[in-house]
Amino acid sequence: MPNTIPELVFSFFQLLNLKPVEIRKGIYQVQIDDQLAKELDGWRAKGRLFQFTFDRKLAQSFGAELISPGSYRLDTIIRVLQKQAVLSVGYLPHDVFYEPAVRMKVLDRLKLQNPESRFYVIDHRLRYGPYFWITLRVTYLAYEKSEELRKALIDLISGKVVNYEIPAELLKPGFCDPMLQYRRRLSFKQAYQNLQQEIIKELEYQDPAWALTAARDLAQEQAKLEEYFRDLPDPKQRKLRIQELMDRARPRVQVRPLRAAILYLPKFEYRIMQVDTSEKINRITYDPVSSQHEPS
Amino acid sequence: MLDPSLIIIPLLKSPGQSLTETEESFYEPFHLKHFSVEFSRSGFSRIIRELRKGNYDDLCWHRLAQQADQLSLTQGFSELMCVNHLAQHWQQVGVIPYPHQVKTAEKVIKEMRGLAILADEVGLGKTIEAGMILKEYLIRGLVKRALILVPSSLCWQWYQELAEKFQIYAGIQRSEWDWEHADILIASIDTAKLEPHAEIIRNINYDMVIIDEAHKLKNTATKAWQLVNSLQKKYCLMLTATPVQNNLKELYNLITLLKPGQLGSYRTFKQKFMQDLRTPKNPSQLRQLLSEVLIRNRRGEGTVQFTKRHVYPIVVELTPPERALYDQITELIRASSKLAPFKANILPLITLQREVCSSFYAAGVTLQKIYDKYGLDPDAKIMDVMNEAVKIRQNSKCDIIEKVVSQIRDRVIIFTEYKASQEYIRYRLEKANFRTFAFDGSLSRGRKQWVRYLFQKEGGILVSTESGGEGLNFQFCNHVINYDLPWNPMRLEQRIGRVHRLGQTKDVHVYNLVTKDTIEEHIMFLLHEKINMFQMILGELDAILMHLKWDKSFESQLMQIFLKAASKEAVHRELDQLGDEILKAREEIRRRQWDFF
Repeated sequence: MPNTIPELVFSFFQLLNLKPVEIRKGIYQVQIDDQLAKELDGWRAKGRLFQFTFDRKLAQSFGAELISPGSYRLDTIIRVLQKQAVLSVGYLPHDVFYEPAVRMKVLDRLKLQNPESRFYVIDHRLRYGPYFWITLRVTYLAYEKSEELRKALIDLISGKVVNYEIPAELLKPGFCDPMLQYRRRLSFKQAYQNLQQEIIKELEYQDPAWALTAARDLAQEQAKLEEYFRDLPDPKQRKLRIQELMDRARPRVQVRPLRAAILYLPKFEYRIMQVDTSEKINRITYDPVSSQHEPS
Repeated sequence: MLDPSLIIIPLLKSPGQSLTETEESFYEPFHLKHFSVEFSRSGFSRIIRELRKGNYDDLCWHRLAQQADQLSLTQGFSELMCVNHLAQHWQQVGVIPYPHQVKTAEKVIKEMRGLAILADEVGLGKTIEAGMILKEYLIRGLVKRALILVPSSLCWQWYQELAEKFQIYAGIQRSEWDWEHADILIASIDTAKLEPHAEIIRNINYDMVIIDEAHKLKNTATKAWQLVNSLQKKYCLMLTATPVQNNLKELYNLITLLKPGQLGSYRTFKQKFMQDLRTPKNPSQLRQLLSEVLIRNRRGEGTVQFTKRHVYPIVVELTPPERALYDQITELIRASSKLAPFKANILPLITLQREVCSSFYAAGVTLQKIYDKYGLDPDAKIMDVMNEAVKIRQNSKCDIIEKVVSQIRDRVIIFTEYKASQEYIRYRLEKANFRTFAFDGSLSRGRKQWVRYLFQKEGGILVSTESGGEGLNFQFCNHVINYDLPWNPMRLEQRIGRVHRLGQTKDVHVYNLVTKDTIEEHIMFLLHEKINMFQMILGELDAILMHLKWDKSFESQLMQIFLKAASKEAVHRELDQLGDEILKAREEIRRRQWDFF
């Protein structure tokens, strides 16, 4: 994940198979074709030699386009990027995790729970669990507007909204082997509903100071309007003006899914023999991302 | 493993429109204790659509898009985003927003919450302020649909300003279809108030409505006021240089249109704030309430200083044949004014009297028309006069113009009121090897733009009639010649205002050609010496003339004086009185504006 604006810009060109050349210290040049020009600057734009810099002074002295926070060019690149990748698919390969270490971890935990027993791994299978990874923009809206980005992962088998940090750079594009996939038990709509419930819970516990301020302002404005319409009974006008006021000032949170990915995350499925006074075979599924195991 | 070719690696494919480009819908909101929560239906549907189609994008794009999402977030109104966004563009097109404009935009967004009357004095850049506010809301995603209502002559200018300075590409309303299909639309308020347009507009939910020349909305009985009152609008900007013109009721109407209840009901407003229709009560409290919705920047410290304006009256002496003809026509006008058709309508005679000061070519056309239409010919004088006019081969004003232009050696705009004079001036200047451009009301918008572009790029002399110059700015030129003087000072101000406005970097030189011992000399006395119109604050004159509330036009007032006065001294005396009346009105307006703001 690029952390800075230059990284974002270079990654953008790289994904388009374009290689900006540094023609002077801090000034870059790249040939953009008609299609990209149109995406960036509208249907009338034509392909051209595009020179850019991240330095305001260089932009002024050299005449290259400035890419900096809030600049027009950065905004156009962001706009183009935001149109991409509404839906993606990827998986986290098993080999990211060292299976013998996973096995040890599982056995150690079982031993901890049942110190009297001995455990032996009979065999194991590698499987993938389906997850719905949604990127949401949460907008706090009243007279003012502020936004935050949230990423949520929903387990499409259990329906739980889980708080894993996905190692995004280790994800591989595409589907994993269908033979290794667990079947999805949850519809995407249900997953979104579960997510909604989870977000509602979180918002209920957040500091409501912003909403209280907004509600106070709204009440003041509404009182002025009501006073005005007391002397001028015009229900249609009153309704219209109140509606406008609400549109402008009512405190509300809007949650917009921007993009999503179907992710397949590895699961290690073990058959483990438990030996104490008797013998018992346990089926344990271990999720290395969350570092949790549960009986299959 | 699945065939990797099933994964679509996009080369900038645009899967449908972005959310901001489509109508957004939400599920039923969840109501919490202090606020409600709305989940986007359309955003989720978009993802599901891609799922059904099996359109999967590369994860690299996904990661990069997430980063873009992060960068696109807005955080409160701590600073204007549009200033950074447009910085480089402004540098390219040579726009430097003045600090008072940035401050105004910030105040409207942060404190006034998008409801404001921008009442800066003329020439301080209200359009720039409105453009910045609109752009800011567009960038922040708070405005998607906006309507800009302006006088029809300003539609094109608004379009240009928004496109050139703010990269906002609005549409100009031409048909009924446009109302519903343009996100940002510029329209004539006179068209909008008529049916069926008004009905269509009322049903549209606008995020922002901008109204230029909003002082025209002072009367609740007008269709324009009623239209704006019935519009559904989240944010609203009203632009006017003269928020208070006549009385407090008009001010109340304007504020109420913007924000009903701000000044209470009219009954309570009268009780609290009106001593009589023109005198406010509790001015400090009223000022406080007004300052919540109205911003008025004045010229001077902290705003902007205009370049100087130098005015040169150039007296032109008529040759004896020209003098004889002038006297003949003036006499003809006096004689005709007593005839029946002109007692009811004096306009043709006013026109003739003005034309004769411009050129005999212009006057000849009108004489012919009067002769054809009324068939009047007191003592067969019209035919005589026309015959005399044809014989004259010299034009003293054009002789002077050639000299003045050759001394200036820069771009010059010559204004005349008449097309015939315009053609003659061009003929004379072209003959003297000057490059000229014609600019008049008959040119299409595109053609006007093209002529303006050529004039800016290649220099030369632009010979324009008033109607040609309307709505276009020529700050790149700083020499104006008034070949003839319009009788209405507003029109003279509008001529000079084409070049002397925000963006003009040089001193402006105005050359007024005044024919000696003619009506023009009297007009010059009134405008230049008596009321010092050329040094008045821009826009002040407009307010004065409206304040005077004459039952006749300014031109008719003057004509009456000229016709009635027996001698030159009498004309002078009458004009002196008229000038005093204007000056008195100016003082009253200045005092009243200060009282309020």
